[in-house]
Amino acid sequence: MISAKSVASEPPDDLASKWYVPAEVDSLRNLYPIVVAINFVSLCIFVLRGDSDSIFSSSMQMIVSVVILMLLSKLDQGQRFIRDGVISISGLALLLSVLQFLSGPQILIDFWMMLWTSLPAVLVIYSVSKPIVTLWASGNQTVRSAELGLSRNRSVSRFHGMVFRHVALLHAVAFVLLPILWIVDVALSPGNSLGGEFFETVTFEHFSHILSSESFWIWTRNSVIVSIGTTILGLALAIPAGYAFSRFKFRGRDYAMFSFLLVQMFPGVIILVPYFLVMKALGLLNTSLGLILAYSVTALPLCVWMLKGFFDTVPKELEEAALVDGCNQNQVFWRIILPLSLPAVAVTALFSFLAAWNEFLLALTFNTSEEMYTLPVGLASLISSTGQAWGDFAAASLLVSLPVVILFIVFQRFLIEGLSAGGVKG
Amino acid sequence: MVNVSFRKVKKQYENGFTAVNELNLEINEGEFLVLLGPSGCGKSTTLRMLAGLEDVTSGEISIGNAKVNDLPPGARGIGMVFQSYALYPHMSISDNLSFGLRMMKGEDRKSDDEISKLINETATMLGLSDELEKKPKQLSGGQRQRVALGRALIKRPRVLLMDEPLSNLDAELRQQMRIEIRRLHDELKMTTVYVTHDQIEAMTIADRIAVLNEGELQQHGPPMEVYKNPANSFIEGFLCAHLNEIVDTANSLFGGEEE
Amino acid sequence: MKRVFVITILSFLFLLPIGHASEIIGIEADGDVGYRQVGLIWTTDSPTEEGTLFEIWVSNASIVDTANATKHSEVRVGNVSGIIQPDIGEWYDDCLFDSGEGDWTPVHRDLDGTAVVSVGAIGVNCTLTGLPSGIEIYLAVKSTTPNGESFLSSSISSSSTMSDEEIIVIETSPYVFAIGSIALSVLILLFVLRWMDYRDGRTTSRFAHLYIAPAILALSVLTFYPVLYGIWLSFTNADQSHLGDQSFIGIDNFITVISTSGFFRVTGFTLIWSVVNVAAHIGFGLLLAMALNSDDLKGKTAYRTALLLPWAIPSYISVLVWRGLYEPAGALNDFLGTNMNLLADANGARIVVILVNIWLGIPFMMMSISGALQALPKDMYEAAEVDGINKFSRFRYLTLPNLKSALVPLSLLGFIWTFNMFNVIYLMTDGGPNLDFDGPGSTDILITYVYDVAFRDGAYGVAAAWSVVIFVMLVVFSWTYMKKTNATEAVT
Repeated sequence: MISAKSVASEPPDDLASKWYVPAEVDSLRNLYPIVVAINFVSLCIFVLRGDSDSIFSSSMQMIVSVVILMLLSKLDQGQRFIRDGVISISGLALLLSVLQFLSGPQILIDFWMMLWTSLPAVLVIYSVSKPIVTLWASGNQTVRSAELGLSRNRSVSRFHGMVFRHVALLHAVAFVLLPILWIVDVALSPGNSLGGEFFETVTFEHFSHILSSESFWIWTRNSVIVSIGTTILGLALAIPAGYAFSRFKFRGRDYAMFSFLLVQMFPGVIILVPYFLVMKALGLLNTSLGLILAYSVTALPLCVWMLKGFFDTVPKELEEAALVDGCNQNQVFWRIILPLSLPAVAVTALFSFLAAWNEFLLALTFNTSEEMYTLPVGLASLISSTGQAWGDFAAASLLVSLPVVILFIVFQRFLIEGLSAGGVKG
Repeated sequence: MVNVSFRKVKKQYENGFTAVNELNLEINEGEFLVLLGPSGCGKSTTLRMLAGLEDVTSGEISIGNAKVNDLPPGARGIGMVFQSYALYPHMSISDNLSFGLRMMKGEDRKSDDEISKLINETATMLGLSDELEKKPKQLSGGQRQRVALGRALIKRPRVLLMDEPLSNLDAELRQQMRIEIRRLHDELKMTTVYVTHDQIEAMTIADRIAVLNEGELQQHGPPMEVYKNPANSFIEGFLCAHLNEIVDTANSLFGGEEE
Repeated sequence: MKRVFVITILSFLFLLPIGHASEIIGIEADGDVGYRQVGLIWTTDSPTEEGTLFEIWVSNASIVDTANATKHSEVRVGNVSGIIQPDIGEWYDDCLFDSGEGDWTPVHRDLDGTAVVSVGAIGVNCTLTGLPSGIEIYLAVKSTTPNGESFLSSSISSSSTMSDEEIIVIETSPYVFAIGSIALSVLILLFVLRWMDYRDGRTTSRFAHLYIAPAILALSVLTFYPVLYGIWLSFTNADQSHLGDQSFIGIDNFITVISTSGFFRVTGFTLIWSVVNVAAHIGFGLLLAMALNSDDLKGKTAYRTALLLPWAIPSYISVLVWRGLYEPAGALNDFLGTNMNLLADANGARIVVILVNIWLGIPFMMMSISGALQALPKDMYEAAEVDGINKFSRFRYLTLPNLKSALVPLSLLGFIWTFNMFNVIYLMTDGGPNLDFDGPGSTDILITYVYDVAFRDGAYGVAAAWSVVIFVMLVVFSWTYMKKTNATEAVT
């Protein structure tokens, strides 16, 4: 049993002073490890450039950042001396960073690197020299000022957290957008040059060239035939199966469902070679039918699971009511269930369409004659052993991916839900 | 043993809704105070402000003689029991109890031996000694409730906060736990703030009840006093009439047999 | 990259003082030498000097300068003593050279696999592989002397006429018979099951077997049958010339697989490739999911949409775009202010393909982890706050362990997908650089190498054996992984 004695009872007046650390200092402590990491990335870039002066100054920069990091972790109440040290060393870091930028080629990435060395230093100087931090660091604060500090800490640290989030997300977005912007630039630039200033001269010659080329339209026709064929056949196979799995208990149901799961586990590679040989023997190479058959079966398990998930959400009472009203099982399916789950069927259709539209390996293997190329293989052939038509490729890529990307973004919620219903559960 | 005080405490959300308005309330050392009111009356918000889980818009909350408005929850010396228990689902019961103690740093950190002694003491006190290696999922509702209570008590908090702790239990267990909680309080004598919407629970467990409605404190005092002298028509309807109705129902059910 | 650099420098040092470019006086092409192959013969006006480099350029238009053409391969004139001289048929791009005495001997190969002919050669005859069949292609040879003088031959057009359909016609009837009998037995099975249901008096599911019949039939004929057929193939000598009449040869194919030079290298790289990718996908996915997991984040939808783009864009397009970025003239060098040719260097290319696949895979993990994060109980974190647990410990001791049940299947799924990620490697590097004959290239992973074995070498039996080996590896890995992670779950 617990005795009353063991309960804490000291006067808690100094709680605020004990717990108060300015949010600025906390945030800088979290920021500086990242600064050191980015210093390291910059150092790597300079090593790749082989620029020995910058390597030296960048190493210095990194050492200074590590020192700042260490000093920040030591900074505490009554450590006025460390506070002064941090500020002066950050001044040094700022100086180094500006000098390095001025001596470099001053392209975008240098600017970024300079921001990541100078801005944290400026932040250190600015926030550590704030009166409230100075007061805290010199150890002269009163309970009242600690309480005030605590109350502003909440909003300040929330604000810093948001800034952190935005900075991290912006970096990720830049990494995502870099190749996309570049390909737009290549599509709009004359010739097949891969480098140069972004959007220096804008021309639509590649778009008009690709749109007037016969092969692009042949590939598009093939892709459209294959994708639509896959969607129709895939749905025709998947809808009844999904419905049966969702609604009926029958002999062999568990085995059948397991076999659908099992297929999802098979890596495509194990069927590639025999698939090819079977298609070859049946004369289905270089035909649209071959690809349609292959695609609708590879997408089948996922479609069946997606649809089963959707059918499961249609209340069984509706069906029972229809049966009581005199419909037979087939009528229930066609007149009640199917119209109700039309949105779900549309999502599944979109899913199999996209899968067929984007598939590369089977199309490459099965349809080797240029007449039967689908868009993926056709586009890849623009960049191959016989040509480096980057401009045309870029224009064609934009034309091909734009509708797909828009569809994906618009229906992202449903596609992701459907995929997690089919994929992760399985 | 500390007292708790609310002075002109106000909570207004960003959308303009005022959850608690100008609350003035003193809770004495070692007192068992129940915050009573219908759902949405601001009683849980009051408790969460005291715990530090919600910001205070204006006014002052103190524990002991220190203002705690902006102290992080962990610094306030409180223990809290949540309505949903909020146990750590992946940890064993003994880890659930000791997680806070093990994560402490600096001079407050207890040695491993002390911690395991505290675990055993707490488990014995709450009758959980045989369940220490189990996961929360393997326990019954009542046992989970005890674990939540144990987790709050093991730190020897200066103030114990309970947010509708019994509402997820069935009637019989609720009765039993109510008695147990009161017994623990009498033993440990820690200042306790207990939130409930159940009038009977409030009447039977409290030293003092404080009735809230629409963010305003209506009345506070020992249970029987509030019952006998309702300050306004709300109290009369919410507390007195409700209790009378229960008594009448009981009488009409059993009165005939006795005669 | 470094090695190439050093070799170039050294050769410059050695060969600086000598002669003029040999002019190419005769160039002939022959499109009938084999599947996707063109034979190319050229002769020079004078015996070649040490250090001369012949570059074979390919384009789909007449070549007037090399800007619009692609380099197919190189032949170097140099000292051949001490380096290997493979026989015809032992290397890609079989090459012979005329040393001036009218006899054609196979070329030598240096460490990079570049063909080397001895000093004084006056003619070279190469069988160029990997060219598209059925279309007109243009070929030209450029010779460069050590002191930088160069000469570009006139371009010559040809087309590889042999496409694989013409090689053999396979008997269709055994396949039709196999498919027919499978379909029939599945139908009979379904019928029997239906009858048993009927006998047991289950009437509500009257149409169930009929409903699943099409899907089950398709699955059996187009998936299970090929899988079984593939397993059988792996025990036969099926190749381009034995199809339909292949015979059982026991485990020879598996021995070939294990004894492939570079078997362990390619397996090792596949493992590194998968593990690094999955770790990065989960790491960055978790980071971004947590950054997005805030109710009052401004522009959340815009961020999420932008971050989903790598998933939305067809992967073959993204990969080719990245390849363009990494080209020596591409924007990456402009952007970083560097001058690298990462794709030409084995380790550089390995890093590059991994980076590209990381870019591709993050959004899927981000979205999946986002869902899992939102499912975590909020009050658990409040309890921890009251317990005084700091942010980092909350992540380490609460978020991570509770995400485990989502992360374990996700990482396994990611591992299997990455293990079989064909597009990235095939389109970025095609296994190169340093494509060895009869072995995987520097960036080959198992699946791209199997593709080469099957469709470049035409060794279907061996490729099937590789597939079986890959499948077994995956099964063993998945099984151990599930077991290990379950075991730790039971302990904690």
